[in-house]
Amino acid sequence: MKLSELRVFAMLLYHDVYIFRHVVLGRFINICVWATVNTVIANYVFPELGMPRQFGVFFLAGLFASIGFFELYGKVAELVRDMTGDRPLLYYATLPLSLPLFVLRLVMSGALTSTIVGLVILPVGKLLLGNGLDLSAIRWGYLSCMIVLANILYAAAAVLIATFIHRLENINNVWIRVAYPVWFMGCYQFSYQALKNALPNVAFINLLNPAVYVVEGVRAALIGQEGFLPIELCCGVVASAAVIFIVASIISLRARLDLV
Amino acid sequence: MKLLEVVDISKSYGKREVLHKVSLDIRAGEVVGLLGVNGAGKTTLSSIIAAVHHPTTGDVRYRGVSLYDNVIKYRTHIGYCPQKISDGVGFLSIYEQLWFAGQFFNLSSDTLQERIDAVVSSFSLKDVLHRPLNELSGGYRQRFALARSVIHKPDIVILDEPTVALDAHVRRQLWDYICMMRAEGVAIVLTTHYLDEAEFLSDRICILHHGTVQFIGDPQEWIQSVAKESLEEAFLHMLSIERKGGI
Repeated sequence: MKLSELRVFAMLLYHDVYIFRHVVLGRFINICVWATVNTVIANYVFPELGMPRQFGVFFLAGLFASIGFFELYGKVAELVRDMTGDRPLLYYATLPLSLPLFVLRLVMSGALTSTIVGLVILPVGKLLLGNGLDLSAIRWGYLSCMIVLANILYAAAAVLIATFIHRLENINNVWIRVAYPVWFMGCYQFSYQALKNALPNVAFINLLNPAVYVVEGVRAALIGQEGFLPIELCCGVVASAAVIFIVASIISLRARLDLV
Repeated sequence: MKLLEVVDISKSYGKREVLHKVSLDIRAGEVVGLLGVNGAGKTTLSSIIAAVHHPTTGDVRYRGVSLYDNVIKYRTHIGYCPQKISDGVGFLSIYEQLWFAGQFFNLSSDTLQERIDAVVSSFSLKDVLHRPLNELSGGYRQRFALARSVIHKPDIVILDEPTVALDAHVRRQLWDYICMMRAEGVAIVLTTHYLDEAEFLSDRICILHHGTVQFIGDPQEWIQSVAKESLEEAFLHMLSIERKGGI
């Protein structure tokens, strides 16, 4: 791989982020609304049903981990529309960079924009939860690592999923049958330990679900290690899954678009 | 001088063969029109020339060397003008888009500024230079798409139906710009459904039918060979022969 190719790759990323600034405010508002509704209900309503008081911060961590997932639908729809329509994407396939970098650009720009959007979560959470969110307890290094890896994983998943969808109207089916169950089983509303206590066999199978490690890892970094899967394990699994998804998305996109 | 040679290209998707032993050469400063009905294989051929798709068999040679020896380098010599520009970039102004397009080809700052000035002048984009693309008419958008495809001074430009869905007078304007590109020595591969456009612009036409080449050469030569008045009449004549079982 030549330096000139890497420069084109870097310029494409800059291009994508440069475009993103035009829509970032709207996306911040979306996340603020979603985060506010979820956190307020989890922190102030759920305790009335017997849930612990810290359920708000528990939920906020799950939300933070899931930003990449929430962004997934739009990214898949955009790619499918592109691939099934006039394929304006092919202009970028004629630029002087190799196929892996072409695909990696799609993944990394998706990850970058999701990470930027997610930045709003902590200030909103602090505002809503007050002392319920202890910023001094956050392990910032692990948290940054987990968020970046999670967003890379979800962005690679977006490319991979898009390559399997041949009609725009099929996205909902894929969402309801595959993506949503994977995310819902991914410990968004419960901890892995709780699942293991209630349904040990399901919990064992669920170890294959990368979303579990994303959410558990972010919770361990944000709230503390106790009660969650080891954060080092989560980082390792999410990083490995991200690499596997990136490689799979390169192979799959090459096959789908028959690219050189 | 032969700039590009397409040598015995075949392309199959599974058992379906969309191109069968297609050979064609393209010279500097000429427009080659790829014509055919839907599914004839013209888009597949143009995207193979654009190094987007691989042929199943055969080769494409740029200045005598297989482009697959160094695809990345080959891509610096071609420009691609798609039918439609991605909606996602519509927020950016023409200037910003041209700047990025030049950066994608690693142009130095000075060269890039010179090239932006040149294409803005050539394609009459000065008045809309700082306006976002999604505020512009279809004619300006396509003019921009042409300008973007030559920002890095390529030897070959692939135009994929550049005037589709445009008004007649706007199409005519774009024809002038395409003629200007040819006059500057750029080889142009033009994919189009408009036969009047192909007749006006093409130095040579390549008629594809069911993935095979029916004719390559001067459009007037083909029109005369079938004793017709225009390319459109000649094309319809070819299709009527097929319906009677002649092709």
